[in-house]
Amino acid sequence: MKCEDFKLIMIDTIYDEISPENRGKLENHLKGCKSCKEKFSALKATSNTLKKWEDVEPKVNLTFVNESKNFFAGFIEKLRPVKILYGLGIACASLFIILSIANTSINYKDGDFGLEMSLFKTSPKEQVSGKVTKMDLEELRRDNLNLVSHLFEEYSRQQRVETVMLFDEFYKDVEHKRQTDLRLVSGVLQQVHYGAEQRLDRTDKALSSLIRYVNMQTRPGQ
Amino acid sequence: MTDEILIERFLSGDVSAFNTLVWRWEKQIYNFILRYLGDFELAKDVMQRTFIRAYKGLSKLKDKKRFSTWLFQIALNQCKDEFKKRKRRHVSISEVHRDENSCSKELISIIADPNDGPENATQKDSVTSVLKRALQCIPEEQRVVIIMKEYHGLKFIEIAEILKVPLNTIKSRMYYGLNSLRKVLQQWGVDREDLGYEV
Repeated sequence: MKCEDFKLIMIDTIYDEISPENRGKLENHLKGCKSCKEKFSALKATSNTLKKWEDVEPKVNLTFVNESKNFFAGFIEKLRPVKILYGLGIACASLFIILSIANTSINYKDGDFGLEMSLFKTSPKEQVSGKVTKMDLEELRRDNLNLVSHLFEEYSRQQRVETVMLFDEFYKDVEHKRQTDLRLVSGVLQQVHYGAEQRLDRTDKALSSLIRYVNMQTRPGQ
Repeated sequence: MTDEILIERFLSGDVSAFNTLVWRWEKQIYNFILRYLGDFELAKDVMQRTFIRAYKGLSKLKDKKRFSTWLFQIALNQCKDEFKKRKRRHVSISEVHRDENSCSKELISIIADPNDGPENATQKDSVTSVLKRALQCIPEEQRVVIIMKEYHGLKFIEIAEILKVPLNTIKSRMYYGLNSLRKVLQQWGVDREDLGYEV
């Protein structure tokens, strides 16, 4: 064995982890190798020097206490499997909603609007051909025109209905006011007429009295 | 009462069993950290973190017989984390790390370093101060092996298990670590009179 091979054996010897066999080998080697003997002594001396550093007390009062769990914390702890299921439920519902929104389509067919929602993307029933012909464009333009004219007609009809209803209400209101006015005028006329008759009666009576007085004055013998 | 029994009791809800484990191991762990980092106050903080980590993770320890090894592993990881943290902050901790050049400039004057306060009042404390600084001057991988072997009496096989390196690598680190330390002490001119021991 070379000197190099005894390095680890020296360490084993110093710390008493050596086998009897290796101890014998080292002792024999040290008898004939001055260099290794010096190294071994130096190692032992350094190890002894290190032992001068004695342990010190930590001077720390480290005490652990029971963690006080409140009622709700304990309850939540017990509900952990339920919480997992609850979380899964929310996750599934969220996924359902997201997929539904992502695959929502609005279409128009035969004058009606339609809303389609699906979890997964549906393949269109009618495949659109790669090329768009002039005829297709013309048809699309016609459809659009029909749609616009339909919307316009609908709007005009609605407008007309609203206007008629407005006029109807206005007419009823005016008629009501006219009837009220007529009743008022009629009442006033009746009062005027009654007053005039009374005045005529009074005039007749006054004239009769005057005539009688005049007649009496014109008859000297009386 | 063995560590295993105390662990079982702790796992069944008896926190006082863990306090017994702390009481049993705190001195060893504190001194290990102190020798690794070379700072008294820092060693207290890191020791507390080590036991808190142990408290939280003890239920995950599969082999209860490995408690001490596992505890040293935690302490070592905490020391390394602390070392990295300080390095990132660019904080100079003279006690934590010194390179070979800076160590060689220390010379024997450190024995009477007034910054160490009352610790240097006696010769014993002077030796402690010298060794504390000398240990910081050797490579970390050698230092940790020396501390575990010399001061905590761990078997080489246990150190290999903690550090997760081959057994012969550990012995080799021990050999070269002792040599490095001797050289540092010789460079500082530390001799029989200073240490009370022949170097």
